[in-house]
Amino acid sequence: MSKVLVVEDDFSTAELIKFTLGTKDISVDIAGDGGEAIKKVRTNTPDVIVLDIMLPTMDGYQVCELIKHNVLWQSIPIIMLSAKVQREDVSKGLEKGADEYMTKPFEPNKLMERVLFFLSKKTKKESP
Amino acid sequence: MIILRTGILYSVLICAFISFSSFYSSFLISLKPKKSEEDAPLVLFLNMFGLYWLIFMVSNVLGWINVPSAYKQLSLLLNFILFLQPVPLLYYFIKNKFALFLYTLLGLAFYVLCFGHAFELTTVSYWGVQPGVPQVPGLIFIFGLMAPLAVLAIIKAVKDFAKRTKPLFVETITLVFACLETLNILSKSATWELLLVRMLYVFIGFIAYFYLTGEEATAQFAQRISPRIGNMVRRLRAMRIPFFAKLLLLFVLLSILPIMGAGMLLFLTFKEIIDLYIYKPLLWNLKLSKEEFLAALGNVQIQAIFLITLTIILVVIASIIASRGIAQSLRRIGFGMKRVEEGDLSFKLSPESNDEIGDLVNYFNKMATEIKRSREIMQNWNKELEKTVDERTKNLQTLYNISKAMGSTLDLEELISKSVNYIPEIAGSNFLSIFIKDDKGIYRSKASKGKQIDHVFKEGEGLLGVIVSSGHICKMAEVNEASVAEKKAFEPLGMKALLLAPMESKGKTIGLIVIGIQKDHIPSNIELNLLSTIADQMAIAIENASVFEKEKEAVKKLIEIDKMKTELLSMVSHELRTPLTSIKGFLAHFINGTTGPLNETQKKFVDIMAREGDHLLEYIDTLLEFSRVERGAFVIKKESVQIDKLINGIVEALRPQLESKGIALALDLKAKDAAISGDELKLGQVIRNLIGNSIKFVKQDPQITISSNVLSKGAIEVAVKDNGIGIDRDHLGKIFNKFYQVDTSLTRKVGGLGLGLAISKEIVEAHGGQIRAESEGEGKGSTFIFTIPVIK
Repeated sequence: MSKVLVVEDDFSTAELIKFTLGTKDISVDIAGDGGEAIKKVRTNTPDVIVLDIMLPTMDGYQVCELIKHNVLWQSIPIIMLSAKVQREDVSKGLEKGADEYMTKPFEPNKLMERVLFFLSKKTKKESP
Repeated sequence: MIILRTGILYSVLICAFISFSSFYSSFLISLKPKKSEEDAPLVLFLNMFGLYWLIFMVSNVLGWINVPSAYKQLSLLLNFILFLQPVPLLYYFIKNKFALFLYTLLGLAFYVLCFGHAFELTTVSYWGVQPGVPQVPGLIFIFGLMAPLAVLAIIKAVKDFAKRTKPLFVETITLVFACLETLNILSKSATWELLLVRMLYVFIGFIAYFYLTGEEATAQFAQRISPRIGNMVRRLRAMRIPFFAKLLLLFVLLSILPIMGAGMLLFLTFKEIIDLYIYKPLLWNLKLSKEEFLAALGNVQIQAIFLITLTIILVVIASIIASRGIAQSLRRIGFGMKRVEEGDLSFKLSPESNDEIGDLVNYFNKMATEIKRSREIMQNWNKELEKTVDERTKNLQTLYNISKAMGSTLDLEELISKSVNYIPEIAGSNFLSIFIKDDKGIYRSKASKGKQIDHVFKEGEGLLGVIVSSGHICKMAEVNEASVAEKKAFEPLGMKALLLAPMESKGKTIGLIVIGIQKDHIPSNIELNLLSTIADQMAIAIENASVFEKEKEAVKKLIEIDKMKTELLSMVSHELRTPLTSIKGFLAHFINGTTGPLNETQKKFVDIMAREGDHLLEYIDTLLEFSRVERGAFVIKKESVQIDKLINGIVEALRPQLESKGIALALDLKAKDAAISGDELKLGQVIRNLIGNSIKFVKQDPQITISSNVLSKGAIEVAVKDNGIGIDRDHLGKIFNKFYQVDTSLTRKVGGLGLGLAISKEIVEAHGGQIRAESEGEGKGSTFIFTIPVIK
């Protein structure tokens, strides 16, 4: 069972993502802030991370940077999901190493599609 | 009887002759060098000529009476010629050189004919050439002067020639003739005694010449010959000997002395000399012996002759005195006037008589004194005026400097501290302070020259307070009249008095200039005026500065508010996004059926909720976009954009929406491949905004036409035309303003924040383009057109 870590401080949004991904047999772990996210990556390394940007203590960019600078974790795909919709926000996210940038509000199906895409990519890499 | 008749016959002629001759000769005698000393020899010649003419006349008159002869006829003819002389003589005075020439020519004719002739007859013959002809002392006198004059004329002519200046022609000719005549006479000096006597005459004549002319120039001339003679002439001048005394002296020098000398040389007795020199020449003319003459004295006729002669002499003397007196006085006055005119105001004429001339001299002196006095007054005035002008100029410069200093800044503190340096040191002060009233009405020293002062006061408090409340008057105040607090503040600075100038603006006192005066000096009105002008200027400048300060504060606040608004907009749009994410996300699950099937009603409601969620999101996006525009934070990418391609893409995406609303869409794209440099996303936003606007304000049978064109001036034009509700003319210019809605009731119906057009305008202008709206009026549809320059 694939593991997805959702880093999201807004409870409703976290619930929405969890429900959305839960429909497809994916285990969803939720971290409420950046620090917790890092802790969870260390203890229970996920296959895909859905990462909000505006977070307490450590923002999404920093979390992304930390993960992508760690040799052990840098292969974990990160989908940034943020209310920050401006062009420079998007480019900054991608610069920090995010594999995908999605804006809020999001179409649940679309998020699902992207998560499944990254999961399949990972499976392909591992299988040969 | 015959003699008597002849006497009567001639008497008319004689009278005319006498009257003319008397005046003429006296006139000539009284001539003096007129303008410069240059013409002195000529004038002297004329003087001598006059004298000669007088003697000639007397001898002729005497001759005519008893000796009618061929010689007498000739003399008469010459006399008639002489009558013509006054005509050119008049011209002499109007400085007509030609007239002078004519005159001299006539004079010369006479001179050559008569003068020489007379000499021949009288002087020369006595000494042996023509024995028996006596010598007339007057003629010797004349000769004695003619010779030196001729010599001088030659010297002058030679000098003029050497200086290459044109010698006075007439003068030269005249005097050369005189010289020739002299030589002629000298050549006839048969004996050595005669030659000796005549040489003596020449020598005495020189001295007589210098003495007679007696002018400074003559003295200088004499100086050149011999310093001694020069000094002598000066001394003689200083003696101020009357003219007649001079004449008499000359007569003695040139006639009596030589005659007596010659007589003594010949060992003659005094009686013999008198006979020889006086009777003989006189009676020779009359062709009478001494005895005959004495006998004839009893004769009435002879008495008449003497009477006439006496009359002539008296007339001559009288006219000479008169003309000389008046002419000399007038000349003196004229000379004095010239001196005054030339600026020698201290020149005074010496009063010499009690008559009208004397009065004139007195008036002249008074006038000169008066002129001198008034000129002195004028000069004083001028000095005063210059002083005042200087002071004013200095003050203007000061005011200019202060104005410049004040104009250079709107900062209150800087303004005051700068002004302090430009206020001049009035009354030798070295303390100056500017007090400014604060909000609480307390006056504080904001800047000082000299020592700082921490005295504060309120209106009506102490000396300063009273001055301040009295308003706009510059005043002096003694420190010892001040309040205790003021004394404490100002006395240690060594000030005796304070000069106080309140600064008044709009009828209110806003400050006070305080100048400390240490010396016993009362400032002038000019200084007070200057200070009060400075106070006025400063009041205006301070007022301006404080208004500016307030404005600056207000603007700063506005900018802050604006920034806060923009930040708020940005934050709100972000914060709204988060709850909307959940709402839309969960709704999507309902719609997708992830949460199980919905019945029809539920499905309908959920759809409505989703659509309204979309609207909400649209508003949020607009707000965010707008906040970025406001912040100036939006960046325009520079990429090649093909407008037609862009429009086609947008229209394709919108088509379902348009069709669902029954809007007919027409495309008229002529830009083809033409590209502009810009931001495709942003330009797309503009086009979407415009189409969205048209969709919003539709009527029945809605129709939208989108056209594109390449303009000749190198720009692409895009127009979105609809047949909707149109725009009133009054609103056309304002619809691009932020938050502008033509009709609020309409807005409520169709929604929208009124930011779309404002954002569109910002984007178009950021591309260097322009946007405008056209409408025939309400209900007649509208067209939105924007142009963007193409890539060159």
